[in-house]
Amino acid sequence: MNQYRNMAGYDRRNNRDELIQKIGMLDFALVDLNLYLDTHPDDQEVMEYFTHFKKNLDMLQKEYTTKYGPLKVEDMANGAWDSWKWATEPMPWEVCAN
Amino acid sequence: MWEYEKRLQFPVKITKPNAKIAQVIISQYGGPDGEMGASMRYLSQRYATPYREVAGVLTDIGTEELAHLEMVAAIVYQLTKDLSMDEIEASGFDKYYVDHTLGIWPQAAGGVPFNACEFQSKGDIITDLFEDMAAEQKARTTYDNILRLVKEPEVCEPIKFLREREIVHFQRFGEANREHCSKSEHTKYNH
Repeated sequence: MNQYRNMAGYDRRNNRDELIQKIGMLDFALVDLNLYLDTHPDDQEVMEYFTHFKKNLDMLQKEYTTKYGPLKVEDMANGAWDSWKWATEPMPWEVCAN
Repeated sequence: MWEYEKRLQFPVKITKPNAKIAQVIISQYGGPDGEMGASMRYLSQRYATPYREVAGVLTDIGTEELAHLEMVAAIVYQLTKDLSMDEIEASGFDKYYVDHTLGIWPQAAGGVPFNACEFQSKGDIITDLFEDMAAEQKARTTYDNILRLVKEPEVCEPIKFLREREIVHFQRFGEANREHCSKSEHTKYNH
């Protein structure tokens, strides 16, 4: 778990590419911690890392989805869009979305 | 129940199409040790396990495999986009093209269609977890082979990420086997 002990906090001044990269990193950390905790359900220290990263991820996702558009369909409720961006933004397999 | 997130687990940004590489990598979409078999294996096996924690591991790893399936499809999609007819013929991609055009279809590199016989759901969690550990190693070997055949960094980076995940999943399945299935009452549960 050492790789997660040294992860710093995140400031909120991000452009779109930086934001989506940080969201990807944090979400990956959560996926990895999730699998670890599945087989180590009594590891309180790692449960605290999970909570810490989830809070950071929530802030970044909120910033991204308010500024640029939804990652999940429920994010459509975060912004005041004039069209249904869930369907019109690029799909994740398009080169321009990565 | 699942929710879709409009984002790849690891970025795939391939700027140079290459149908020759695509024909190799598609094996990890629908081939014998590919991500389709992986996700269906774990998501099918989870119902019959008597241990809730193991059902959790199977659910979460099975879910991650769906994200890997999407990444492999994105790699093949980007590698085959905007090909000229000359490139399609010269690369040998014409045999796939005639049946699927540029659609993504689950097959092995040799053209064999995806088949559920590539995985088991045996209803005995020890049997299933040992299959799962072997499956992760077989997928890791396939990614190693891809990395020997492919040198383009923009293709290799997501492949290296997927390879590493096989190792982590192997580790977790091993722990699930040790922690929960080594209990003496296991045989009582299964008969």
